[in-house]
Amino acid sequence: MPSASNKSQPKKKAKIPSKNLSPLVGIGIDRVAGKEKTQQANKINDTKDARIKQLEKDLLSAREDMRSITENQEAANEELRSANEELVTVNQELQDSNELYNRGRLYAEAIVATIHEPLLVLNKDFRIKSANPAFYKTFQITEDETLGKVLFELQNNEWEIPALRGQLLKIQSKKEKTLEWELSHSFPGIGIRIICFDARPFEIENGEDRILLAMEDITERKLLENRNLLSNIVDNSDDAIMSKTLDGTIMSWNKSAEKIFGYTKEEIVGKNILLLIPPELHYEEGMIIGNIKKGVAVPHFNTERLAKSGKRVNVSVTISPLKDEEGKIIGASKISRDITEQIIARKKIEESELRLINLIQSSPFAIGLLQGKELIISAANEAIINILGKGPDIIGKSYFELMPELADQGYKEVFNEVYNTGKPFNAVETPVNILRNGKMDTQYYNFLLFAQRSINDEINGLGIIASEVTETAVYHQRLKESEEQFRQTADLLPDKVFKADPKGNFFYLNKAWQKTTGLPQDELKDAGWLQTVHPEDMEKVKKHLSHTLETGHDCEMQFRIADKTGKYRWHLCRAMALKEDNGKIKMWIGATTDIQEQKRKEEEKSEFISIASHELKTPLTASKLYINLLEEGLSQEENSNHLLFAQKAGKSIERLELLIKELLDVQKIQHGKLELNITTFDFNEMLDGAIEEVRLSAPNFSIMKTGHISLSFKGDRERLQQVVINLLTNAVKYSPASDKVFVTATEEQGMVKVAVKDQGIGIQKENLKKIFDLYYREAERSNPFQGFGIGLSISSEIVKRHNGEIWVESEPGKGSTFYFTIPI
Amino acid sequence: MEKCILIYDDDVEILTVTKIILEKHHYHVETRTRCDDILKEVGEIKADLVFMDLWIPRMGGESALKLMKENEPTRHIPVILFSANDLIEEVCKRSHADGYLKKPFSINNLLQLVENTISEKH
Repeated sequence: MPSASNKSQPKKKAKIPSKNLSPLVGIGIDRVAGKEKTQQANKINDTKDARIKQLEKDLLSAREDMRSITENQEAANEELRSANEELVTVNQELQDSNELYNRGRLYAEAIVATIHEPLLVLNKDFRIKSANPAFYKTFQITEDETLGKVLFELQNNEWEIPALRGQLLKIQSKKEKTLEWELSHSFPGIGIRIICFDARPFEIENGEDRILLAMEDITERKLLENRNLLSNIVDNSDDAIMSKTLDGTIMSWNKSAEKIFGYTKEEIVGKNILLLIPPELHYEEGMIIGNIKKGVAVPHFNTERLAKSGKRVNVSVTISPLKDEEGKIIGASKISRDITEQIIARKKIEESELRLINLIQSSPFAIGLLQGKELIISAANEAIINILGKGPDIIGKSYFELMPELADQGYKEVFNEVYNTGKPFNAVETPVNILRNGKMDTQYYNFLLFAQRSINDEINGLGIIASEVTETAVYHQRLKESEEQFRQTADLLPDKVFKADPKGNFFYLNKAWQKTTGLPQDELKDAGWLQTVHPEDMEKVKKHLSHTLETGHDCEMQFRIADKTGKYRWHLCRAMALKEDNGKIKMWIGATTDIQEQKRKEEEKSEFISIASHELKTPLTASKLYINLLEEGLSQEENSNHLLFAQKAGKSIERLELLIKELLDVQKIQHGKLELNITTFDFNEMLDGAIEEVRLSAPNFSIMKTGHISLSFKGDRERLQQVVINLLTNAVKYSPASDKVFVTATEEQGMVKVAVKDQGIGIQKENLKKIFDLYYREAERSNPFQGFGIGLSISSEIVKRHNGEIWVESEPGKGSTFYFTIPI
Repeated sequence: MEKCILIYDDDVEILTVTKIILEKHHYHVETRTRCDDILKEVGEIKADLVFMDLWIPRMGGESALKLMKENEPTRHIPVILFSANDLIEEVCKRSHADGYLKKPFSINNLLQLVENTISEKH
């Protein structure tokens, strides 16, 4: 560069004088013009002088300029000399650097020639401008075959490697270096090599582009890396990996092998593989080695191996031949996977699958599985095969192709809906027509249709669970019909019919309720009907209801209900529980009858009886008293016949009195008006009193009493005595051929027990129970004996009212024993 | 002095026969077939004992008894109710009668009750 500045500097300086010379040129012109005007000089002397002065001045100035130019020239010369000196220096430097360059080039060439890595210099057409010996050696190619050739055409175009071409083009266009990119390629003569490329673009003196391509054969290194990686993989594998020679000697043994079989590497390497094989499976090894020798790999097979502990391990084994570098088979590698858990899991799955299949097969429910949108039957148990009625071979068939009659009934749409939405479809007692043996058969089914999903939760089929419920459905239908009939019938009834749940909430009331009360069904429901009950009866009704609900016993009560005019009318309500087989109450049904009229008649009747008894008893009283007077009078007289007549009249009056009493008792019993007058009394004394009274009227009989109940007893003394008298009177009355009656009184298990035994005519077996019925009388041989036969029925009622029991044991011709017990 | 017994009954025969029996046993007996003004009648007769039929016409046995028991001068006079009705026992308890006699009764029943009642009161 300094040389360039030296050249331009003198040029510049040369211009300066030409610029300064311009006034000199002007002087010359002015001198010529002065000669022509000398003749007139006199006139203009002053002007001349001025002019000369001016010229002198100019001359002076020119001289000054000249000197300055000379100075400049000298300076320029100086510069020129100095530039020349510089030039000489530069030249020297150039010579030096040229030398250096040549030396460097030789040095570089020496380096390139001796470097181990192949190097190439390519021009812009990828023609090889230079190559080093390492290149020739590495790729087994001569200099002649290389230099001047296009890289990709080398060795019969074997170097036409698209990846290489692409990479080089990229480098060329971007002018950027690329380091360490790897390429695996099969090169002629040397086989597959992995080459690592470094490429950098550069420019030579004339501006041409070049690419320096350095290559490194990293095949060996890579192989080593791979080997390390492989050994890492082997070591870290969960599978047991081992190798063995052809005679079965174990050569290598990884960590998992140690874990699975329990032997350490040190323990097992060098031992025979048979150590691991159960004796009965030793033949396997022969087969394996046979295959291996032929170079055939043994793909994985499941077998058993022995661990060090003696435990058997389920393994999946894969065996491949091992070859040496020349490809000779020298042994086998063996990969064993512990599949014990897998086998257990599989067994479990198989078992569970079996259970499922058994469950499906043995299920009384019809179960079927349909696959895919075409609804191909993939599983079906016997029950569904029977229902579908199309024979046993239905697996693999499309459901609706098999069952076109179901498609006709609109089920295809239902199935599709479930398939598309995943929403299950549940049908209850639904009629389905199925074609069986050419005949359309209608049956009722409960069935559930649900989507089957894949592991990915996508619907891939349908499941059906169905059960035939024709009988139940028909039953329910009948039940419904019968319910309807019941309602219709109930609505026709004048009685108020109701149904209530086990808690006593009325859920059904027939029309008669509405008709009577004028209230709508809704207002009567549950406990609404209670608002119609007379306030005075309310407490009684509620008490009765809660008792009934508590005990589950039948209920009967009378109360007043307000009709729609607000007038109260007496009703009789009867209800009973409908129970399940286990005794649990299903519901209550009941009927409430208007007994207003009946009640009125009853009251009238009761009044009538009351009056009648009064009317009857009054003349009876007078007669009785007159006869008493008569007897008193006659006893003092001689005529004993008259006394006898009076006494007989007295007896008849007594009998009449008893009959009237019994009639009234029966009336009371029938109207539930037999009231007990409970007092505490001496039971034994009561008994003796009764015996005494009967003894008076039947003096010829001997009444023998055994036992003594000496406790104070709570009950209606008069009524209980009436029972004993009745039993004794009967015993006397029906014992025409005997004169003995036995009375036994005992106390056992919290009861008093009285037995009255006679030796009379006895009672026929079939009549034993009827004997306590009202108006029953032992017909055959009782004609000679009087009585209405109502005494026993009254006695029975009295005993029952005391929560006791009365019964008879009898043998016709031998006599009867009447018993009664009453709790103390 | 003979005790005076006043008997109310609508049945003449009952009145007659009881009168005979009681007079035989030295009681003075007055009989009535109806009861118009119990207090006046009891006062006039100065009865020591009253037999009252439950269903005596006009006044009715129970209300007559009530009047007597509420009236100071007659309160002490024993009253025996008699009737053929079984309710008599209940009415007797309710109205504080001094006794009852259920029809039909015997001479003994009648005499025993009269004696017991009079001896108790006097």
